[in-house]
Amino acid sequence: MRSELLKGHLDALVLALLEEGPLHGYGVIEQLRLRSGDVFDLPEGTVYPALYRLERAGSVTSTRSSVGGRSRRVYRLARPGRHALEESRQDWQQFSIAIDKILTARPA
Amino acid sequence: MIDDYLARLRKELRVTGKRRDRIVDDVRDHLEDAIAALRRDGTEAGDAERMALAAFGPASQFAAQINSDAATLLLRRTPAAMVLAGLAVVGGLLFAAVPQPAPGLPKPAGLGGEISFFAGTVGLQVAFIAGVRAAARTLARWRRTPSAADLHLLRRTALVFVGGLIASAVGWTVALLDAVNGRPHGRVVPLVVGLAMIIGGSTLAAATTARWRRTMIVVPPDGDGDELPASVFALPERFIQWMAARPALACTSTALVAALAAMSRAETTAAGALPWGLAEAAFVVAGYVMLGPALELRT
Repeated sequence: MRSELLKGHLDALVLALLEEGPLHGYGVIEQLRLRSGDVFDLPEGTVYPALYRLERAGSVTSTRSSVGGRSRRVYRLARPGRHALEESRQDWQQFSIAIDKILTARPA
Repeated sequence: MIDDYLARLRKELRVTGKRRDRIVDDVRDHLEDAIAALRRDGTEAGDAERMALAAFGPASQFAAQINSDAATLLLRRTPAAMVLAGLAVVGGLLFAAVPQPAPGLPKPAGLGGEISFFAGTVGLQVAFIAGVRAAARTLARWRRTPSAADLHLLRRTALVFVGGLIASAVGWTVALLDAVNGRPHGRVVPLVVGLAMIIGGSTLAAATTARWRRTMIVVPPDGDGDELPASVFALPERFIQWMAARPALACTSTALVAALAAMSRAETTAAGALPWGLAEAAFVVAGYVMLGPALELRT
């Protein structure tokens, strides 16, 4: 899928992945690939600007923890992030219904 | 390979200190995890490194994203720092001068002191105009991504703002010291605090501008920039552009207002104030001619 279609939605996707539980940066990109059935196959570095943005906004927090015997920075969804995720879900629902109505309608 | 990549990344990043260290550490951790995953799948070590780096993306591309976000953040914070700096300089003058035994600078100041004070006031006016110019353009682009042309203008206005503020800091510091020199009842504490505010404010402005210019990557502007949005926030910018297209009107009206203001401030007769008014008008005209194009105040 063209990566430009994903722009603007990456932050919401990252929040949704972190809702399942804390993840480190590599884990986020792996889950993004797995949960999308390999449809979202972005340059892996793309996820870090999104994580930093979300951290600045207070939507996620991060700490260094041991992951598989290695010290890694792990990101967790924060309360403001849960609110932001809910809003994103509602926005997406409205957006996708509207797009669907237009794209799936075929001339008689 | 990873060390070379990280060294290149460190060089390309325009964020500094702990933030840069953290980003480089995060990238290192990520690459190590990616390589470990590929090795588990049976990939040879050298190939795993190459594949992990290719999957992550070029260092320059990653750094560009980080730098762009950092610059946008700094762009939002810079106006607040500049306003604070300006208030500190003006506040410092008032704090230092007002508590002195007589109102303002009542002791008949020497010519040196008067010229210094005048120079300081002109410097503040230059800083004020630059600040207003930057504010109008920033407001017009509120919640929109600034174009290359916008960023170029903001860089120039930041320089002019800092130059004006430093000139006012120097001028007023000399004037204050001249005014309290030889006055046995001058109040030292307000003077020291006021001078500290003046110097602190101009230092803050200089440091903020230096940091912003170091972080912001600005490509050469292509054309005159985006059209102004149809929004009330764009009104000040529209007014400035309207005036810029009428340089004679803009320059004359500004010089007249500034001259009258300078004469009204001068603590002397109207005839005595006239030279200050004329000097102010001359500075306004000179400033308009020299700085007008840089601040896009005249076309």
